[in-house]
Amino acid sequence: MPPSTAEDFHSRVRQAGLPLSQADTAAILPAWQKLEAWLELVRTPAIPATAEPATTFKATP
Amino acid sequence: MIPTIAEAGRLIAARKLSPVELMQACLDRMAKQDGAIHAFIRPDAEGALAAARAAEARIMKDGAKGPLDGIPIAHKDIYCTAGVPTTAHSKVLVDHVPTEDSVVVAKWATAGAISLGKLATHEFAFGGPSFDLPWPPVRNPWNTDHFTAGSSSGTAAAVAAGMILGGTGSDTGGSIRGPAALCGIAGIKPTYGRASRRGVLPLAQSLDHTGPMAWTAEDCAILLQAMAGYDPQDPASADMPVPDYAATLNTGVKGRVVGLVRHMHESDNPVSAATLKGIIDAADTFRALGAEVRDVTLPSLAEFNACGWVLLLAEAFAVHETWMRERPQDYGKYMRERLVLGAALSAADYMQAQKRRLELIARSFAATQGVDFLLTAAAPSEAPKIDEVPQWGFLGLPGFTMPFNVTGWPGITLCSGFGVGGLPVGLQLVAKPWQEAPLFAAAHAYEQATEWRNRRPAMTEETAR
Repeated sequence: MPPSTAEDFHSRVRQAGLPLSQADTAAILPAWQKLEAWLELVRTPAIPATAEPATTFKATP
Repeated sequence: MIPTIAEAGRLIAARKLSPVELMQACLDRMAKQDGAIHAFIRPDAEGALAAARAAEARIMKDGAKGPLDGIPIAHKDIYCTAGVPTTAHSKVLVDHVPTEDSVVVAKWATAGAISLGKLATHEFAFGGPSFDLPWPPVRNPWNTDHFTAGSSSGTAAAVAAGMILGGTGSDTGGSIRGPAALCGIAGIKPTYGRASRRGVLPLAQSLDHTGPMAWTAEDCAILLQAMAGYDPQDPASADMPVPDYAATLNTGVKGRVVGLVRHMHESDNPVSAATLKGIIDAADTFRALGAEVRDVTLPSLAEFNACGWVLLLAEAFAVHETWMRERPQDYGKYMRERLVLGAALSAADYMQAQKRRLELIARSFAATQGVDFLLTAAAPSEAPKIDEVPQWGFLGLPGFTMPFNVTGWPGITLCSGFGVGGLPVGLQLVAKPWQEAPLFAAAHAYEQATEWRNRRPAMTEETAR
């Protein structure tokens, strides 16, 4: 996937409830693009959709 | 001569060392050095001296409670302390005064340790080194132009400079082991769930560990002994027996297998010549002590760091979400902007990282069959200058400590020499879950066989004259 644009990034952060100025967006975007590269590493190779995540809980304490 | 906890504890128990004189010596070193180091954000000299006097009277009458009785320590300012502000080094919590001690603070106090106050940290154990917080960042006692690493920076600097004999740290991606390396001390991140985190301000709960920092591995063993154990009110706490670490401290490494994880420090993130020499020499030392050393290949540092940082950033934003919406201006720039990365992650990103984490753990176990310990770097080199630390450095070359936050395995940092700039370098020794006892034995054997525990920062040596 191509790296996020400033608009993509701004949209993600706004969805989380944080207002971010254009200057802040521009300042943080390069770091986000590095994190996106790591996200690709996390997702590759794909893990089966049925694999249990580590947060599976037990019904009894 | 600054005693270790083990030495001071023995002397106090034999009534040959006064806890008051020991405390006064620590306070004198604090008075002479901390104006340049900034390890403490809230020292309590009067309270510490009063507690030392009371301890001395009690010990003279009834004897010492154990090896921590009368020992000067201090707490990272994310450990809650009843009636004493606990700020996380942040304007956000500048008026936060807890009503209860954290579990670890209470346990150490029960064991007789005496706190000199609260220690500096990166903001909320993450945002640093920052110059826009209510207190300045900590400077390295080996050279105050240099960084300490973080986030347990105050603890590492105060131990190295002999202001305290041990202290609390926390480790979410390396915040005990990194500062221990750059300040030339010992620090252990125990197994996930070994020590309670209740009453410790969180960074990212699925990666957060509490642990001790001190001058030697033996001292870390004494401190961990007093803080480990099941806490039913910490959901991550494990109901596992805590061995007597002192009982096996001198069992060495004969017959043990040390896995040298070359790819981590040779190709994944190539380390400095001094750091590499420290690791090679340590492997030779372990061989000479009777261990077998063999190469081990784990998942790459990049895989571990990618997974770990997605988890850390997402969980950290969840902790700070409300404050970030309502008072973002109260954070320092580094912390605020790092949290924004967590805000931008999706729920699917987080869950994919949790799945990847299980796979990385399974691969790590498979790659280490028959291996007792792993040996690699704790940091890539000696400490950089504090004003040259990049804001986004954690997204650059992948670090050496995050893998064992992802797996939850115990890891200890030990001093392994000095770099060209005269600052210390460190190695990291890792064990399988719940194997802190043999890990301490290996670390202690290494320290006994090497000379690195004989040297203190020059400014600290000056104060001893």
